[in-house]
Amino acid sequence: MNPPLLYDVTLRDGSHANQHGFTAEFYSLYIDKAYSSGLRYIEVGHGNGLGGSSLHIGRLKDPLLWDVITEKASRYQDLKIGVHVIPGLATFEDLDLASDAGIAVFRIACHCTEADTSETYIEYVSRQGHEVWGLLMMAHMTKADRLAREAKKMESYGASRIVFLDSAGALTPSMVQRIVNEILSVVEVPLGFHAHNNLHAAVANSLAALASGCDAIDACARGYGAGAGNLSLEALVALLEKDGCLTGLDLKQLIELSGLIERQFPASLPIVDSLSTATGYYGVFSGFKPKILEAAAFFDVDPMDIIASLGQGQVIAGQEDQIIATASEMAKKQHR
Amino acid sequence: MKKIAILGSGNIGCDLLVKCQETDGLKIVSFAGRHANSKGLEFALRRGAPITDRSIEGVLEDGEKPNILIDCTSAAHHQYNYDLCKKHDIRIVDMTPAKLGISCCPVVNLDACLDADNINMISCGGQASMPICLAIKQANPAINYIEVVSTISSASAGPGTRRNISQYITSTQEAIRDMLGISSVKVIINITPAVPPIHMKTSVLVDSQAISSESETRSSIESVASRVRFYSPGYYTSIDLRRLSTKTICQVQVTGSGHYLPAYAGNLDIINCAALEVIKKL
Repeated sequence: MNPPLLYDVTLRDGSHANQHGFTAEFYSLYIDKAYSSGLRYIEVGHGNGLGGSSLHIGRLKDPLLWDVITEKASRYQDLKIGVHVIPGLATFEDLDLASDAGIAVFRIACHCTEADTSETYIEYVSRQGHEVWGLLMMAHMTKADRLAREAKKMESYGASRIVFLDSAGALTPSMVQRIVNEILSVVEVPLGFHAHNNLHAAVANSLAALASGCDAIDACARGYGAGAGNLSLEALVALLEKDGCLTGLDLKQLIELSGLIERQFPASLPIVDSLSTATGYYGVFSGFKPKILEAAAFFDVDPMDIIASLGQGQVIAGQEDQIIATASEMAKKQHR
Repeated sequence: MKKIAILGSGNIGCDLLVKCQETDGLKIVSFAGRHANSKGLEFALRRGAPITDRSIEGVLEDGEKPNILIDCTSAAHHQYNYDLCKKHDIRIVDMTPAKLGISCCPVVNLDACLDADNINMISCGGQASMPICLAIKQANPAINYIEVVSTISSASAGPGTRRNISQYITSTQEAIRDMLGISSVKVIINITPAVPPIHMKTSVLVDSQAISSESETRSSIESVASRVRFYSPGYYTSIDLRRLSTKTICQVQVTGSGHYLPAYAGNLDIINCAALEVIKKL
């Protein structure tokens, strides 16, 4: 197997874990160490990407993050710093600001069935001359052939790579394999995969993605990301190296990076708990976890019931207000 | 009798056709599209409206001259249509996000718009959120930040909506900021494919510290919402104003009238209801 492109989403997906509380100081330390360990793709920003900082989802705490990003982008010429971009949260103005700050990779992300919302954003970034990928989120919510059609649209708009995201950690290895086969049967550009660990399947799913023909994998140091967390970067690299696939990364330094996360964020390290199993099974967005717990406590209802209801209502990432609406409705019924 | 021309034969135009035909005192003199066999033109023909497939030229040359033209095309075409209407002394109600004329949300500034030759209806999310923002502003005059999150069903989001998300956000933010004098406004939009399609929902969020009295704000919201129901009958709060630690949220659900589009398309219905309200008063 050729070594995959490892795309580090710790500083972006991990933003969900600490409720968007990364400091500029930590960004600087992390980027230096990640670069030194050989990583060349590092994603930054709010958990929901550009324009995500809001009352609705959560505000970025440190306004100085962008200064660090600009500094690192100019210091490390071969480092590609990426951002997540959801049309509906981000505007073209946000794309301009990110471009000015030195962002090299724009990952335009939309719900898995709505690829045509990414068209003008992909075109806009392409015109600026940046690398642009197309991301299909919550990939478990539609069939593999539909995902392939949506991927094909993104390719036609100008995306140079497609990534499908198991945003709720709800896929199995055989589902991943089927999706990869379907997408690769219709698109020419390479394909990546982004795992979450709600059902303990992030490693198995990522290995299945690689075995089926994906050439890029998203991962986080210590799996530090939304909900039950993401694929553990150092664990994947260890597994690949054992099988003789040389990634070119320094595993010892990656393990140290994982230790850095453990020491800095002991209170928000992802674990696979009962709630994660429920969100994975019902296919509820990983990033909702803290808000489900908050609403359950506020309205005095069972978080498991909220999860089941959100899953049944096919609530998607971005609809954080529906957590409140659901919990409030449940509370009304209980007290009747 | 006011003579109305509808320009643009998509969902918005067809729904407005039904609304105008069902309103006393309005006469449709022209329904214009660009493609002879389009679904919209066939629909209008079945409903007995005079149709043309030559866009604005057809409106101006073929039939009876309108007093009011409703532009349901796109922002890119609006300037051209506006210039021609000015020349022919036809008032224009603009459903596109072009914003060349005065922005109008009936509960906020209807009377101030009645002398304008071009009245812009902002956006669907703008029509749904502006009344709640107004109510919050009236109860808390010092408020300086407001956030609006709309979720619409995939089935109600046409190609125009999908290609204009960034412009939608920017123009809705500007309209709320300028019309209500709130210095900072953030607009978010979600499009969900959930089946059955959800009815449009719009949440308005503010910092809890900006709300001086929850009960006064809540009654202000109820009072404005009841005024909106005069022209958009499916407009109801689905989350009463709620303080959750540092943020305070309120949500409305907009159920459509089911004229041309199903009830879930509250987003298209409310902007059309608002436009009809303007046309009735012109």
